[in-house]
Amino acid sequence: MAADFGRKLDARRWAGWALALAPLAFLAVAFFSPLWEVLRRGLLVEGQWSTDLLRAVLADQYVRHLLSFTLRQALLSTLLSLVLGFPLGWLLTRYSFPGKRSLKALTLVPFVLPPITVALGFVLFFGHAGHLNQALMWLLRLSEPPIRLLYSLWAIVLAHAFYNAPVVARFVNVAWEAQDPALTEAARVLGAGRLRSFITVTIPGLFPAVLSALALVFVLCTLSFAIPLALGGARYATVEVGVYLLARVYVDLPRTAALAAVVLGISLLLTYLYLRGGGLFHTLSSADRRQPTVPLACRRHPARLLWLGYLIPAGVVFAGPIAAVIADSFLRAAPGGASPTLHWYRLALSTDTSALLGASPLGSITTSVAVAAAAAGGALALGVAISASLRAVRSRVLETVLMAPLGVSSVVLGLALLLAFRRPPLSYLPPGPWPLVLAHVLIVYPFVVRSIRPLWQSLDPSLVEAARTLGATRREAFGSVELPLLKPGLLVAGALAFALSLGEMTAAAMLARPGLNTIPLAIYQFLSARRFGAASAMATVLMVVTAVAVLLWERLGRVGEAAEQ
Amino acid sequence: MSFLVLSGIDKRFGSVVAVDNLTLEVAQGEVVALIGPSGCGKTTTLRIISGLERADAGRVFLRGKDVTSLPPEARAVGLVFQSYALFPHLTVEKNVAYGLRRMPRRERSHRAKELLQLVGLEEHGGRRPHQLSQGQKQRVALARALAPQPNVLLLDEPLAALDAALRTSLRSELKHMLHQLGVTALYVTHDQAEALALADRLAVMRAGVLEQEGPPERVYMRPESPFVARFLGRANIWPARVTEVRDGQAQVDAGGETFTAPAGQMRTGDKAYLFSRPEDVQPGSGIPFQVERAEYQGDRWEVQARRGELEVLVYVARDTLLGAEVQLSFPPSSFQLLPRESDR
Amino acid sequence: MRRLYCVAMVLMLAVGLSGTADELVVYTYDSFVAWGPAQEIKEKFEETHPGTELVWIAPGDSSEMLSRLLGELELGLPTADVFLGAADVEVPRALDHEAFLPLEPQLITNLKYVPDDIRLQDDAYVVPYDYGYVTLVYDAEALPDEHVPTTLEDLLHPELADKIVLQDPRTSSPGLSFLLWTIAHFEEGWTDFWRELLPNVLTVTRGWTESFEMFEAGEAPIVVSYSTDEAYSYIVHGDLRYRVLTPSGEGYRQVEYMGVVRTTDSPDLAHSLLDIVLSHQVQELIPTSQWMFPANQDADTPADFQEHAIVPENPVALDMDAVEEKLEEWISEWQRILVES
Repeated sequence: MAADFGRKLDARRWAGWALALAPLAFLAVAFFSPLWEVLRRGLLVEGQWSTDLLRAVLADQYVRHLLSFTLRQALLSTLLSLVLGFPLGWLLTRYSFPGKRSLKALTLVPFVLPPITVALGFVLFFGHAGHLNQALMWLLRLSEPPIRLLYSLWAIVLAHAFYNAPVVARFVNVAWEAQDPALTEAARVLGAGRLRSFITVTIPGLFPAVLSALALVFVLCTLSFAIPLALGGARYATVEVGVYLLARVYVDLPRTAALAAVVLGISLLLTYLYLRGGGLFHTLSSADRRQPTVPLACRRHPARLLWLGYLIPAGVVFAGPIAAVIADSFLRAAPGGASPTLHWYRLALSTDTSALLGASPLGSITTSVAVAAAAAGGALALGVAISASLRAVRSRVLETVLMAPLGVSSVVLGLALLLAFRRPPLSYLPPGPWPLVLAHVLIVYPFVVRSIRPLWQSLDPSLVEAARTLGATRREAFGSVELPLLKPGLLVAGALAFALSLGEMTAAAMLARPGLNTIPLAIYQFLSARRFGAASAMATVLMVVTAVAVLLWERLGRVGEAAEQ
Repeated sequence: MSFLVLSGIDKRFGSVVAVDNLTLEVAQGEVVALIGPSGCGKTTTLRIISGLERADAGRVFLRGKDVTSLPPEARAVGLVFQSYALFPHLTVEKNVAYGLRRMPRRERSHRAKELLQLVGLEEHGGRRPHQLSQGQKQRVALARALAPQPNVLLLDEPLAALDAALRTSLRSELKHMLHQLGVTALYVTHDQAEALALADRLAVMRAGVLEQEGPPERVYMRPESPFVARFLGRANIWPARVTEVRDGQAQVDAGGETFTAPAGQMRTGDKAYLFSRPEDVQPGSGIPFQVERAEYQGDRWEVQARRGELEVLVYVARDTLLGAEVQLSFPPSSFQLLPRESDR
Repeated sequence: MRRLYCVAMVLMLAVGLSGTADELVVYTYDSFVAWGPAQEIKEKFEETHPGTELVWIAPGDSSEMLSRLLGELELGLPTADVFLGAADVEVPRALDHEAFLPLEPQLITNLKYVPDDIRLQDDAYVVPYDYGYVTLVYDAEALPDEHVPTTLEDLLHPELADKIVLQDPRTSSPGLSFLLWTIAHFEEGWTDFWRELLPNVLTVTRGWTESFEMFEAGEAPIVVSYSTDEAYSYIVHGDLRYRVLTPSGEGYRQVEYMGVVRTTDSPDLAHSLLDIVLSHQVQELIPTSQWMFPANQDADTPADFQEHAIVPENPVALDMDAVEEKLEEWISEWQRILVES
């Protein structure tokens, strides 16, 4: 069969495999070999293959608790995200109201908001001495704080729901808006009432999208790190937190490796299931007409104002923590109340080495920005090479190998690199934040590939052909035709990569050492020492830097385009 | 000398034969139209000539040089795509100048402007493709392909995306331009009117095989098979048998009637098809036919009439169609005998 | 785009190379830097040894820092020169991993002021710098008198639900001391005690700093802390709001040690640092900054401190050999009880 396709197609496949060489070499050194080292430590006992350590780890009650707690909180978080997020999706689809566009845009914010900031916000807002309790105690003249959320399972679940409800809302909104209104209209004409047509026509149509969203949320919650670490205390830890604690805090390497092997298995399984299942979750029917919307504030339907019963608590849950972070960064407790100050920012930007951080706060910021820039650049280059290779070579095996890091959790990646940098070839790298850069490249590049590939796919192939008939070699055609057309997508992917790296805490926690500290880690360290002012200032700095970087990136792209003319 | 020579080109896609032992020559400055129904292999042929596809067998020669194994960028063959394939991120002028990369910058710009002037778009150089109309895009695509002065210009259904009126007007412009520039061109289309108008020579393809080639009038007037006959225009084709051949004329039985036609290579007893064009059938007097359908076309009526097994298409002048019967006469010169085998 | 890249690369090299000046790195626990005389020690050291910077690294509590040190030693990663803050119950673990260099006592002249009862049998590897007693501390304004526990068993009363903050014995030395205290007190029944205690525990924090800050912020009125906290309350806050509880007159004795890390490049400087920590000048700061008793018997302690710093009548301390043998088992058991709750 291959011979029938002609020699020309073979040349293309050869080129594809050649393109895959550099990424494969990189992955071999930075990913597969380190990962193997972890597995080796967990599965080899005195030179012999053995599942003894694995079995011992799995039989350990503590580990069992970790696993069951992880699953339990993930399930609860997913359900709560659905409960909180579905109404928002409904609201955005069916109603029109002032500020709707901004609200829709805000649903994207959690994607770039680092989880540690959310955890900090929760402590500041929902804590026993937090803003909400203080307000309620003052309003209702209570002596004890009425809301005792923290230090419990519910703190973690609610924080996860905060994070993920907008994801659900977005999936629901997109899928619902894509539904052809003619479907429900046909049902109504055939005799089904409002409720029945909703249940029998609309909901089934939304099913795939909702399931897809829930699956994604479940995976994110299972592999969650920063929120359980910051909000859980000793009692509530997930498996990811468990590996971190075993590796860096209790320092028990053999058990770490065994548990890491278990976590690796879990994350691979989840990723596989999600990707496989993703094939089922396509939006059915594309409509020519959009879904009709009705105004929310309407005199004839005052019942619609019941939505306020959702919006107000939801607003409190979503906006409260972030507002608390920003507010607290400017306030300093003083006898008789709080007073505005820039003291925390001075601290957050100081160059004095802080014993708590193991580096200076400004140094942490610089490290974060440098690492994010390098990681974004590396992820883009790697992502383009891999996309190009996979376009030419249609091999499931190659795709799985090149995208393997997608299925490995960040904590295991961090551990693998931690062990790998002791030995050549990685130990030959000059001193610097290289372990973290590599970790972030590995974590981020699959997202770059996933956003570039469909874009590249949608490029008209005759454009490259036209370029070649006009005298351009294949490489020239790539540089002068394909690359410029991919640029907008590349910029967005790059900005996303940058933002993800800035906010990443898991691998950073695994690889941290004196002199190598990042902003999210600094936030966590300040938070656990209960230096809330400093933590808030750092968190606000992080939000500002992320926003500036994303905007700057986009602006650079537009300037570049203008210069070409 | 032939500028472009295709010799024994074969191409398969899996089990489908796209091009079957194709041999074709195009002389310098000639415009050859490659015509045939969809899927007959004409686009594949173009792609093989341009180097975008590799033939399974056969050779391609350009100006006497064997280019069969050369990549597209080394062949200096221009290709105008059906979808135009204009680079959306470049201006019109930059699009046209794309193939001139080896030229110094000033010359490049000058030449691009020259070509834009040729196609009548000199004022649109700074625009982007998405701002142009379909007709304008087509012209830019043409200008772009011509700019590097290719050996051969290949056009893949360039007018297919345009509406009828635009198509007709651009057609004549295109022909004029090609001749003025002396371009050697191979033009693919499924529209026979276009092919007849533009080509110096026609090549009719079917299922990967070249059925007939030659100047348009000859292919139109003297098709060598019913397929070619039908493809190039309206045709009356009746199964027939030659009963007698004398002095180059043949007596032919068709549908129970006897007609006289030029014998050609036919001999007595041969099976044949009796072919005539509607415009050659004379209405007014002769054999009566029953009118089955009459379509008013503005300047005439197109009439479909029947007599027994014989169905005929004929044009009747605007003012003269009356009633359900029409009398038709068939002078021998209106007929042609086409070969028939039992499975054709 | 390329320019951004170059800037990033330069920044990264700068970050990487920034830590190569002459330094003496000390790992300690966070409250030593936040509360204790870390700054004064640094100044005195840098005065004595100009050209060398003293760097304090203290992101966590003592057990966590010790684990980190041991982990870095095992992985061959760059680590500290001096470790300050290993509690007596943690020292065996450090010695098992051969974390410290054998000391040269002649270089630590102030050692002569340290009494025998807090020195280890052969202080070949570590020397003490302060000591204290782990007890319970409560907020007299937040806890009504009738609820104040007088025995460890009183901690199980249902009125104390969510009112106790503890530290994790895996990461914090007072947390570990408290655990060992309960084991010493209840012997075999310690697991039952903990099972009933945990519902009254608001949270188990990673380090002492967090728990004490929670206590001072009013989130819980009872915390495991040190017997010197009454002196702290009196001297810093001007009242006796924070009271020390010595249930049955008990408290767990904790001596804190420091040592020179095996892989250090500058053993002489390290010894000098140890000597400075034991100097009169620094030791006199310990009571009112660290809120512990100084190891140097010759150092003066303020009268207020002496008056209000409580010494339990029956201090408890388990036998070190027993601790060394059974610690891992006890911790696993404790962990199991924690997750079952």
